[in-house]
Amino acid sequence: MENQDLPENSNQLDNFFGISFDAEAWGLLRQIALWAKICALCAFIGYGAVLIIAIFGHKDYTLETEGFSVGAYVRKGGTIAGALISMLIGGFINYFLYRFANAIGRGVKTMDSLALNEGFDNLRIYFKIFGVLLIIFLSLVALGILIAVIALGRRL
Amino acid sequence: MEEKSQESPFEMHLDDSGGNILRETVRWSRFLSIVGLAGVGICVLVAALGGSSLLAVYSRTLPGIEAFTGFIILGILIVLAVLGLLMYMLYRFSVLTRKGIETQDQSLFNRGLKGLKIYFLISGIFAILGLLFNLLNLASLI
Repeated sequence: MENQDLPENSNQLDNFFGISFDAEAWGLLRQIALWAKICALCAFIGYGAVLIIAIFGHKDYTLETEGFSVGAYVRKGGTIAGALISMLIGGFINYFLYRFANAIGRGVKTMDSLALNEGFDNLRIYFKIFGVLLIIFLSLVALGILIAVIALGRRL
Repeated sequence: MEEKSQESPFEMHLDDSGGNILRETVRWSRFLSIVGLAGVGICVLVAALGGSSLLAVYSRTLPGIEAFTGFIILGILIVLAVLGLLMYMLYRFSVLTRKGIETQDQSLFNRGLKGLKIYFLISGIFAILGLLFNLLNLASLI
């Protein structure tokens, strides 16, 4: 019985061995790593720039000239908080993209399958975080639409 | 043996763990690409059905915008087309890589990786443009 099961099991284990990283795949992986690193680095520098703009940028003078001096500062505080939150979330997501790019680049250079697996695992986490955030966003939109429909129904 | 010696020195096989990781990666990327494509489709519908009324609303807050209506519509169409292409490339990566692993087809697998390469290429160009925009804003502070 065991012998009869063996070929099936071994076939399942060997399932991925037909796929290999050939010269074309190496070239593609090298370019993927390069562009992913560019994306992550631009995002990191961009978040820093946005934070500096939020901190040292001009206050909302339209509010100040209208006599709402405190309002202008509150609005500026909100901008800084917004920049900080987007920097934290974006930085966290792009950290995994940077790790993906680094690991793939290292794997391609040294032909290390462990580094490639580590890279793809980071890409998996990167897409997973995006997916979870998207699910949260869509749920909030659905909730908003539901509340709007209920409110409209009560008015009618 | 002969077959092995003819194998390219670049060649390295995808192992079990790597295959499983890639399978889960493409599952999430497929979800993202489908939602992204649906989002782009909704934006196209909104632009086609309510574009003129949206422009009328904006023309009240930004007078003189009517003169640039053609450019604005063209700009929106280009952005939506590029975003659609971006999501389509992510979808191609998801579908082709998964099919390649399941059917053990090397060319499908490589075509999937090519989709991922174009996806990151477009994202990279967007990231560079975004960074330039942010740096210009920063320079205007000095």
